[in-house]
Amino acid sequence: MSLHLQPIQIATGSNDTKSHLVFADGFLVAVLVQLSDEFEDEAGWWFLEAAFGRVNDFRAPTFPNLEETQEWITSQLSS
Amino acid sequence: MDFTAQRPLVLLAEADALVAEDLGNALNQAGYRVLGPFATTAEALAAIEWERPALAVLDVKLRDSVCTALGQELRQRGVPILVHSGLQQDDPRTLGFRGLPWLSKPALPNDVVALLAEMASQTASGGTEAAASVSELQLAEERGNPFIRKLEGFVTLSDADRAILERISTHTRFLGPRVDLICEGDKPDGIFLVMEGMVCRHKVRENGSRQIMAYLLPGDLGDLDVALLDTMDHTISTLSACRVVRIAPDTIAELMQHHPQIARGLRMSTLVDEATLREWLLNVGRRSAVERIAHLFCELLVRLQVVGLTDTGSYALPLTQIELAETTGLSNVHVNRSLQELRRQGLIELKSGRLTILNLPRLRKIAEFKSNYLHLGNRAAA
Repeated sequence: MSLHLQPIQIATGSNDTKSHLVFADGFLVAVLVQLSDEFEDEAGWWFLEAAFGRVNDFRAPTFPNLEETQEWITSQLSS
Repeated sequence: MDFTAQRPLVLLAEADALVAEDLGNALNQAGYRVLGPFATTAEALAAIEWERPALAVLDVKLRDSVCTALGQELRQRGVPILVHSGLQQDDPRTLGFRGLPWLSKPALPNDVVALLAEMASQTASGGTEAAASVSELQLAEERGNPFIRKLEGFVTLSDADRAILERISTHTRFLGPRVDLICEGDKPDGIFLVMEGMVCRHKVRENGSRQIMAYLLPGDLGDLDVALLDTMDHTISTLSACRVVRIAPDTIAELMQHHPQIARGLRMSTLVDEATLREWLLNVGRRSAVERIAHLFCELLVRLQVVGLTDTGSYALPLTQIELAETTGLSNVHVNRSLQELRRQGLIELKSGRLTILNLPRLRKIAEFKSNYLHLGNRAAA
């Protein structure tokens, strides 16, 4: 299984606009958003804005970088 | 009037639980109120953010660290410190405490009390601090007892009723923030009445995520009939530093049997708790992120107004964003965005643990807030 990230702008109604669509084997599995400076401790972190199927997690986690995000998504998909 | 409010408050920071208990008892008997005891610097620092003690008894070496930072904070606030430590005075770790009144641990509790009395008399002649505590006292007196104020929102109480409620709510216990009063699975042990601060009911999932199901504000109490249950099905914890009373089930039974107006008020209070839970269920199930936060803020305004804890649309909100998220079933990110949105629209200001509602009609409209479920009759000003 391979993940593919597609950069996109997203209208969250906040300053968090930088986003990636995440595809696994061609299927959309998650939408990631980078947190703006309004998040002091987590500015620049990636937030699981939306996720589908096995990737969906009610806790809506945040990750310090895209590498860790992708590792987490891969582990969710293979769980 | 709450006579306990007139007794000087002593911060007790002590790593040894037995010593802490002995000293705490001795201080209580000597007529002091005890802030603590705290075994860690972090807890003691959090507590003095909430309430300024008149005096402090510090063990230098607490469980998390040598409490130099606590000593500095207290000195900045002009709080006289008595050191009660097992460390030698020339130990390098005591550098931040040189020159202070000092007793080697373990000292006799009576010696601690005697030295404190001496320090207190010196402080009292100082003037400014005494004046500050007098104005705090006057404020507390004007507000009155939140338990009585709350019940008077539902029923008319006689002087005798008020005297009984006053007596019941006198023996408060001070607790730091994020302390469990009783945990899921424990056997119920009396009914908790909140006199100051914020308490919550919550449940925690195995994965650590938590849902807060209710806030208990000053004047609010736990379930009247909790003694009928074998075990607690949820946990009750403080959110902020709190002053709490534990009422024995027999006392509640006595009130319910022999004091009809108080009984009626307590039953109303239970109905309102249930109605509030229904409203919170509607909140998490059927309102958007911004609507949920707006609704919570409107509700807290009304509930705190009843007990005199608001100041023209402004009140203390000692909650973290994570706790707001746990209350509203949102992610921390969505709470942050919702607060930004409410700020951007000029509806609220939230800083230093205080919320100010700048445009109440608009906030109410967003939340579709109707205070009918609080059953306050014509007392609901919001």
